[in-house]
Amino acid sequence: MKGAYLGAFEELVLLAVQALDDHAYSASLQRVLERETRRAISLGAVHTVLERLGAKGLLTSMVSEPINERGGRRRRIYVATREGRAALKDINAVRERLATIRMAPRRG
Amino acid sequence: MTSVRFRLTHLAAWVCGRGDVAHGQDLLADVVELYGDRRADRGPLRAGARAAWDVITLVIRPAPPRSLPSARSPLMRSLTDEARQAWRAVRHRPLVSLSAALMLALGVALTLLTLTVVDGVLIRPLPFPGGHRLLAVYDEFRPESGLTFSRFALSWPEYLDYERQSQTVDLAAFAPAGLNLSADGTGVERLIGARTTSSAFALLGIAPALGRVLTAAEDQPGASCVAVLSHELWRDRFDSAAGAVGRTIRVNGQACEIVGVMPPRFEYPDERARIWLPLTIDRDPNIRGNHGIAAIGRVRDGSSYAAADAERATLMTQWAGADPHHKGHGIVIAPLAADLAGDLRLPLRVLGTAVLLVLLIIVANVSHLLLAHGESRRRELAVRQALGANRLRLVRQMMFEGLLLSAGGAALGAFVAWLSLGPLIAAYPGTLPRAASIMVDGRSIVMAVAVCAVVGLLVAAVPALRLTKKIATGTGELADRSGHAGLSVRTQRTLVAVELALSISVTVAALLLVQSFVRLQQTPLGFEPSGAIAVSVTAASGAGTAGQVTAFYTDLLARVRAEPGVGAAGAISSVPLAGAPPPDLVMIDGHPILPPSQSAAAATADYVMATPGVLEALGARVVRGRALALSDTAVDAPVAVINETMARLFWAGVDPIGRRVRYPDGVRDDQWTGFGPWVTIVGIVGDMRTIRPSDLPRPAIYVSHAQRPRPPYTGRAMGLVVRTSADAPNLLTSVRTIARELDPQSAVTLVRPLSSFADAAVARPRFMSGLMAVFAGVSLVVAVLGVYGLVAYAVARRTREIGVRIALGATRPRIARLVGAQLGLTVSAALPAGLAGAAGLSTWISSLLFGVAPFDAVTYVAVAGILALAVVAAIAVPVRRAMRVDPIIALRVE
Repeated sequence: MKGAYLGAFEELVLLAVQALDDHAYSASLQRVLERETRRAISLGAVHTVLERLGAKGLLTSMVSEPINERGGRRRRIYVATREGRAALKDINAVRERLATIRMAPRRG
Repeated sequence: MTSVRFRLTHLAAWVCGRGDVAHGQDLLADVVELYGDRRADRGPLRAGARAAWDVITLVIRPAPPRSLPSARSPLMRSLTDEARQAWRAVRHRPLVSLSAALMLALGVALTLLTLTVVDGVLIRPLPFPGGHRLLAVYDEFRPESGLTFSRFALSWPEYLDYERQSQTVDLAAFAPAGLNLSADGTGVERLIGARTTSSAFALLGIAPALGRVLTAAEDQPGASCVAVLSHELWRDRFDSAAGAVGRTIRVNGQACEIVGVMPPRFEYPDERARIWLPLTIDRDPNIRGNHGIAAIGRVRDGSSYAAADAERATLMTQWAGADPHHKGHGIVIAPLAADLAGDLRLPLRVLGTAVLLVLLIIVANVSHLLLAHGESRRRELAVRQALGANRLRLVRQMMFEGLLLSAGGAALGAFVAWLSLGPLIAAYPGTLPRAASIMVDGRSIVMAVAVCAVVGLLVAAVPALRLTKKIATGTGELADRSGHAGLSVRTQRTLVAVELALSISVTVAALLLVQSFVRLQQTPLGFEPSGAIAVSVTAASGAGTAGQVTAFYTDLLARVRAEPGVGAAGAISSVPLAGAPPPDLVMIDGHPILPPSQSAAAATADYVMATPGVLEALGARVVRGRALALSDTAVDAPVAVINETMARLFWAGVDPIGRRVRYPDGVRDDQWTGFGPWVTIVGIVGDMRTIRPSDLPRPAIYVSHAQRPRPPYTGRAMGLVVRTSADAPNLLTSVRTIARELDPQSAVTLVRPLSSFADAAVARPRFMSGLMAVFAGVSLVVAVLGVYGLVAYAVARRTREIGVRIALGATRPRIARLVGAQLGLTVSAALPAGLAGAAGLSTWISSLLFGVAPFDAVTYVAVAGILALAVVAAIAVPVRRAMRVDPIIALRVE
């Protein structure tokens, strides 16, 4: 595996960013992560990881224009970069390879 | 209230956003949004607690580390890692790194210095647009013409014919001239300028900075005098006034209107020219043998040098067929840049090659140093490879180390080179052609970076490949404790052998050049330069008649001789070594008179006008007869003194004293139109070296200045030679005062000790041999350091083995032999290679040698001897150390 090493929570955040597409801002990320992991996740933890991923060049962010609906305020939207998507793909490929090895018959 | 709340939220946003309030507000809005969601599910209290917790975690969240491994480019990341590790490795062994960097600095400094000069003189394009298309145009006399001159002035008919017939070349003619300039009644200034045809300005492609250049109408006879000034003259003499154009100045007493000013660095025909005047084209077809103009050309657009030269060759064949005058004689062309560099091309190429050899020696030595040191890093490299570093990565890291060392060395070296460039050029006592092009600029930086990169990679290449190879092939001993010579020792020996061989070659070449220089300085000049001063004087031009000029010099000399401290004084038209006297056709009484087309081969002798007293002032030796005397006046029968070479060549076995010579007057239709008066030879003077000390003396006639039997020579500009104890500036002042009193229009300039001409004449050999000596010294020291390092390393490595041998009864001399044996092999391989290289180099430089043969056995043996002594001295310390190995201690180390 080449590229950046991803921590478990980093991987989850990155996956969530990818899943939420252009609705990935911190509150929505916190909500979806809390719902899917069934764990209490603080906003600070989400931001810590978002900033780390940003520093690794795996995601980038932009500030959206306010939109005319409830909660349609200005938001910081997070987007996975090419490297970020590649990292997710890499880690997935490794998982699949590892799973194949485990299922192969042992020699000797 | 509102304001307090606003301030509180502002503060909270500031804290959450880490100083970025806008970002903090977004974060707080997220908190509020989540609070809204949760309140619906879990009620305000629990939702509020969660919100508070969110805020706390936001505030205390750790900042991301400054440098996280970036996913941007894995290669880039690994390169920066390697660079960092390389820097660590370099820092980890400061002594090795420092000595390597210093050695490289020395090499880079020498290389840059030499290459900058080579670039400026040989490579840089001329300061004219399309400068590579410019040509030098000469006449040549090949031996079948009876004369041998590779570069001779053209005659007008030749110039005009070539200009008319050539389809590929544009031409301009010029004649360099020393001119006396006066403006508005201020003092007379002696200037170097050129008379030139108007075509020169368009040909060189430079427009005037002010006013206009010369026009074609001004090339014609009878045109009024106009002048174009150089930027320097305009600045210094006319205070850069725009009103200078249109003013009238007096040049050689003639009124000339200033019509234009050229931009700076208009170096035509060379960088000394300060003023340009029209050169009148002479269309008389009968002056084909009157060679007096210089020419430059430009290859026309759409043509090439090769085509131009082919066309010229065809034309010359036609000329030779049509006119016997052109048998073995015609026009030749050469690229101007190469022509300006002239015979400096070979010396500069030799210096460039020598300095690259020195750099190579230094590279080999640093390479050897890193390799020897790398042996002790083998464990580190093996561990890193075990941890997954591949060979490429290790090689790359070591390349980085090399580049770091060479960057450090190059930075220091470039700085030193930059500091010493000015003094180096100033140390060259003659004029270096195109000296203005020798400068430090973007080209130099590119050169420095290129040298640095190449050196860095070269330095690291051998150690990197050698050291990682062993691991890669898997023999992978972590520590070599067996005492066997490691694989790299053989490579080290090879490197040292290369160093020795190269340094032998450079040293032999340097020693040959130094000997040439010494021989050159010991060459008897035929006159005594020390204690004499030369002053350049020009008598009034214009109205002055021949009698006035003679009277001026007679009076001037009489009064100069009366000055305190003056021993002897006289005037001569060509001060020896200050400028070549003109060779002139002379007719010898009793020899048949040949037509002009054939007579050139008959007798040519340097024509020198001299006053009484000048031979004494020069310290020349009168061999027979008498010197010129005051009694040889214009009304007496003309007399002359000749030199020994002339006596030997033209009157072999006969006493020339009392014999007569005369000069032809003019030529028409291959017939002499008349002859001057007979000149009787009254004395023979010892040969003087007049052009360069290395040139064999030519036949010379010293005629009486008062008699001047050859009318074209006016004798206005003369060199005063004064043997004096007074110092130069004082003499200049008194000569100038006297000259002004005698003739207000006269110019007195350029006072120089006669010895400075002698020095300038050997300037190039001195410069060359001095630099080569420095290169040789550096190469020897570095090579010998390499030998020392090799032996010291071998001894340190084999301490245990030596201890065992001593314990088993080996005698000390036996140990010394043991250590020396391997070195013997290295030296015996290096010696023949080095001598062979030296032979090649010497053959190449043989034309620069004087009085010493390129295969001078003594020099070769001496260099081999010097090197042997140096090697013995270098290994003395480590061998002594080996002989004193205490077996107990040596074995205890294990």
